Amino acid sequence: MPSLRNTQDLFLKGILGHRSILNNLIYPERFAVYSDGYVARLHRALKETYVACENLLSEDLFLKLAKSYIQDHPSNSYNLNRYGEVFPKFLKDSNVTKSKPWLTDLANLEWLISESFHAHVDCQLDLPLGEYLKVKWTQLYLSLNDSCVLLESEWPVHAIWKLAKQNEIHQAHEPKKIFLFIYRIGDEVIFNPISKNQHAFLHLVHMHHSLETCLEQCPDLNESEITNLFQLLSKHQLVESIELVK
Amino acid sequence: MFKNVHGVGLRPTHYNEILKTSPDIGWFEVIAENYMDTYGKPRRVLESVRENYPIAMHGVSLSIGSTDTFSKEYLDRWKLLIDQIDPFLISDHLCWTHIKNHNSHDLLPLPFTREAAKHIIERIDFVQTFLKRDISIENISSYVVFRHSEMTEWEFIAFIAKQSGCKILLDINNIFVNSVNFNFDPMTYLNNVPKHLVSQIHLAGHTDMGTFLFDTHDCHVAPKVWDLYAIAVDRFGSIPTLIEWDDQIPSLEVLLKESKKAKFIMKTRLTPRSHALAS
Repeated sequence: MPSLRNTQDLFLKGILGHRSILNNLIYPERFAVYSDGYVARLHRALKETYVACENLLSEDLFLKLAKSYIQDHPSNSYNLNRYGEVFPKFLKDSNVTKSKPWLTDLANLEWLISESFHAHVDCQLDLPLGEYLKVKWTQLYLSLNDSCVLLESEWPVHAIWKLAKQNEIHQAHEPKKIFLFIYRIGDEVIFNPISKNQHAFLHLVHMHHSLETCLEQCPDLNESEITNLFQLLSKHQLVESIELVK
Repeated sequence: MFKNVHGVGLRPTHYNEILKTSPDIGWFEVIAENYMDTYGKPRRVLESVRENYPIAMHGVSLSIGSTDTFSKEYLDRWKLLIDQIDPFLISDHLCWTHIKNHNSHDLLPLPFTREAAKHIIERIDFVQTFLKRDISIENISSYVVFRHSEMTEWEFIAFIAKQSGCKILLDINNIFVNSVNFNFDPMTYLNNVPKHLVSQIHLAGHTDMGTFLFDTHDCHVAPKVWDLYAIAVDRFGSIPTLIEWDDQIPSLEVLLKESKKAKFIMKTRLTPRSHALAS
């Protein structure tokens, strides 16, 4: 009699296409319920995350790519929302990006939107900017909440995403360098275009440098840019904690 | 415990309406994995709903029958959610879902062997000790059976529940589906489930695929499943009963009507005949 371990091993191999398990089963002709269901579930998870990508690629091409991805990338989490993390890289390595060079960045954007949507926003601080600006910035460290992420692209992927989500498909897009600050307000994920300097500054904040170091390493960041950025952080309560190191 | 033992699944498509209207329903059941890792809208809705309703927490990825070790991350997050929501019942399925770093996201069947039963009893004990709470295990629908099974499905689940001290979440639709798929009498199944171990009942719709029934959860409960539910009520009494509807999800109104039907059947079956006639 096969052991439980051996039975499960053979069953899994059956799902992945090696059908020796069928000899151990009564009603083996129904095994497709499991093997087809496996692909269908993972395909659906990819569809739910990469909505704009699917609209741009067409259902058939997306399904073909998804099947290929599923074959090489098993789901190793109990959480289906986590499936598809390296799908953008998979797209990058595929032929489809030759005709749609923005596709990888668009997929990256969709993954980040999904991450931001589910992120833990622990507590939301009103940033008492006036008070803290009295303190030396060498001593100040900001932590943004987990919904905050950054994206840099050679393509206007935020505009492409909006069009693709509404099924307005334009195959031709002009390259344009963009920097996005992505965050969640309530239940909605927002992506805000920011300047290159603001992007660099927020990246350093994310790396947990003191505000003074962030400023030193962004010499081109002007007063208006930093004021706008802090107003944004303050207005949407994106700062999770402020650390004063003396 | 409840004024109304009938509940429905909490699904995103109904979030806004539930928050706005606070429908007349006894309780909601949530899929644990849909709330363990998210802190966005789903979690906020669950916390709001919990303020007004009891919650049953139903898992799909515990993989109690797997020969892999448990995921510590999974157990920790599950326990955290349980501690935060304080559900009146915690359940998962008598199945396995993953092995060797592959998660199928499906409820895969087990061979009904003494080895599998012993393995699962040990793992239920581990989980119940870890959670410091009882769990319920649900019978699944399946489409194949293993040639080397040593007992029937009802013997298998009853043996595991008795030996481990866990409860049984009895899915009436799954019993019916399996009875057709594997040609047994569903009454035999019901009659062999220990009365005192049933903690909850599930009802759902299925689809006839021609050569077998498929547990699709995408339509109304079938008439023959309602008949079986009535008999289950006779046997098990006033047990919390859930309508599951996970695909082609209808309006909340339709879902609540389905739940009222279950409520009506239970009331009819549990009301003494003389009293029922008089009223």
